[in-house]
Amino acid sequence: MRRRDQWRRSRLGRPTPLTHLQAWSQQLGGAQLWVKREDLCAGGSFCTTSALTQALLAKKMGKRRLIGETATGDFGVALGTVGTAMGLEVVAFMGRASMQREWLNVTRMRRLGVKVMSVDGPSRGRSHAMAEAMRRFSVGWKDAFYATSSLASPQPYPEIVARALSVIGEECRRQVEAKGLELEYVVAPVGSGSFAAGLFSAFLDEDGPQLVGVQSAGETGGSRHAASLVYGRPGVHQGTHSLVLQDEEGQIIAPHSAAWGLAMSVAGPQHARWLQQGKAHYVTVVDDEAEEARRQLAAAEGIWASPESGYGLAYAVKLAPTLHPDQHVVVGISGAGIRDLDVEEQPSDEERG
Amino acid sequence: MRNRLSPLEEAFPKRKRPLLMTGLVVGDPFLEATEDYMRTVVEAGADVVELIMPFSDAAYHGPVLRRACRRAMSEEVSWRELEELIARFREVNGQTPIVVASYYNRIIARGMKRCVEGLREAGADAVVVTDLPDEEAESFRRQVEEHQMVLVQTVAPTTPTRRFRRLASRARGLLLWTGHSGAEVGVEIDEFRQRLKELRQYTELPIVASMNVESGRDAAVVTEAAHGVEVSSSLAWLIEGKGPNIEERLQAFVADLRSSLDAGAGQ
Repeated sequence: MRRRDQWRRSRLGRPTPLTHLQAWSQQLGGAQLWVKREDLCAGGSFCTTSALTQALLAKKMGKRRLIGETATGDFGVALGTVGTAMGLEVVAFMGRASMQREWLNVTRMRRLGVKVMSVDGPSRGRSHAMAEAMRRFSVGWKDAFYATSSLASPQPYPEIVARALSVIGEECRRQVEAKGLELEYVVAPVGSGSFAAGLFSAFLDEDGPQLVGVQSAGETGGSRHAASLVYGRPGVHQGTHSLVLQDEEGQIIAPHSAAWGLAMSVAGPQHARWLQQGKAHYVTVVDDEAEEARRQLAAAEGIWASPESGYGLAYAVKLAPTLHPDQHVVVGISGAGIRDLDVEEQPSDEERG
Repeated sequence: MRNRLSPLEEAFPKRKRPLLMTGLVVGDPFLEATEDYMRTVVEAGADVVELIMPFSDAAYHGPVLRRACRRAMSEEVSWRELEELIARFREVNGQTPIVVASYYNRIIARGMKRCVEGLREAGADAVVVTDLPDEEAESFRRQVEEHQMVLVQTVAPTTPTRRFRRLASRARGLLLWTGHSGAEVGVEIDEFRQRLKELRQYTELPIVASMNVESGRDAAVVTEAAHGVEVSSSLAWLIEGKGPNIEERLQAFVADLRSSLDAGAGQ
C-alpha cells in the first residue's frame, strides 16, 4: 500500500488538482463548476491510475508481462508508462480502426516500449481487441498478467479497477472538504464506467451529492448510441452481469459514440447496482453537445479535455443555469484532449505561412 | 438421469476409441446447410455433434469462429429455429448426442427455463455455456438437470487443480478442455500431456480437448493425452474458405480425423 501511494505521488503526480472554473461558471450563470483534473495525471488520463494498481499486482505475482487492450490508446499509454517503469514487458491489443484514428497514442505507446498488436475484428470497438488480449493471456498466463481497460470485465476485475480508481473520489472528497464546500452534484462520463466509479466511490452516502453518469446518445439521439444504462436490458456481456445494449434475441448491439472511450455496449456492474438502488442516475447527451462543451471549456478556461470528458461537461452546461451561484458541481475530466488533435487539423500551408 | 451422453460415460474408461466431437456454427452459411452438415459429419464418424449458437460478440472464440458467427448472424437464427433443426435431425438420427453451445446472454434473453425446455423437447442432450463460470451457474444448472440434460463443464489451462476437482465432482457426460481453440499460440504439447495426466486422476469422465486440431495427425497427437478432440474452427474454416463441394470436403476431413484417431488408438 505504501509502495502504491509512493508510486502515485512520484510517478503519476497524484493527487490531481480540483480546479474552480470561475470564468466559465460566470458565463453559464448559475452553479459554481469545479473539475477534477485527471488530464493532469501522468499519461494524460485516469487510466494510468488503474494501470498502476494492476501492474503492481502483476509484479507481486511475479509476472514479467502485462497484456491488455486499448480502445483510444490511453490505456495502452498508461500500461506503457507504469509497466516500463517497473521493468515489465507490455503488449497492447488495439483494433485496426482505432490505431488509424488514434495514431498519436500509437506513437506514444511505441516510444514507451509497448508492443502494439493490431486486431482486425469483424466489428469496430474495444470488444475484439479485448477478446484477443484475453486469448493471448489464456495461453501465456504463467508469466503474464491480463490488465483490463474496462470496468465491465470478468470478476475480480470490476473490483480491482474500482478500488484502484477510488483514489480519485477520495482525493476529490478531501479537496472539497478542505475548501469547505458542500456539493450538489458530481458528474462524470460513463462508457464502461471505470472513471465514474472511481469518482463516485467517495460520495455514495445517502446525504451526499447527486451522482450523474453521462452517456453518449450518439450523433442524433436516435437508435445508434452508447447508453447502456439508459436503454440497455439486463444481460451478461464481457463477463459482466449488468445492463447491456442488446436486441430481442440477446445479440449485442454495437455501441456508437464520437468518443471511442465511451463506445461500450455494457457498463460495469457497479453502475447497474447504483442505478437500481437509486444512488446514481444516468443521462445522455448527443455527440455535438459534448464537442461543443469541451470547446467552450477550452475557450473559457484554457483546459482542453478529452472527447469523453465532453459528455460530463455538456450535462454541466445544462445543469449549471438551473442552480444558484452558491451551489457547487464537480465534473470529472477523465483525460487530456491532445490525442484527438487529428491529422486533419494540421495547419494548412497558408496558416503555416 | 440418462440421455444420449450416458453411453459415452458408461463405456469409459474401457473404451479404446477416442471421441470425436464436431462443432458447427448454426446457420453458417445458412440453416438448411447446417442440417446437411450435421448428417455429413455423423456419417463420416463424429461421435458427438456440437451446435454453436451464433453470437454477435463471440469474444471467447477464435477469429475463425467469430467470423463464422458473423456470417450466421445474417440468418438471424432464433432458438425456435434451432429447436426445429434439432428435431428434424432427430427424425433420422436417434442416437448421436447433441451438445448446444451458447453465450449466456442469448440464454438469458430466451429465458433459462424456456430455453432448456425447448432444447430438451427437440432432442438436445447437453448445453455448454461459453461465458458462464461454474461459480455463477447454480440456477442454470438446476434448470438443465431438472430437464434431464447435462451442463458441460469446461476446463482451461488456467484452471487450478483444486477447482478442477470441484468441477469434475459434479460434471456429467464429458469434460471439455478449452486449451487454445483457434489461437495460433498454445500450451506446449508436453505441458498439455502432463497436465491432462494429472487431471485424469480426478475424474472418471472423458476429457475432450479443443486444441485447434487441423488434421488427423493433430487429432492423434491430442488424443495421446486426452480422451477425445473437439473440432470446430477447422470445420468453419473449411466452410468459409475452401470453395465448392463443401459436403464432400467435410466428409473427407472428418473421415480423416476419424481414421487417424482410430489408428492412433490402436498403436
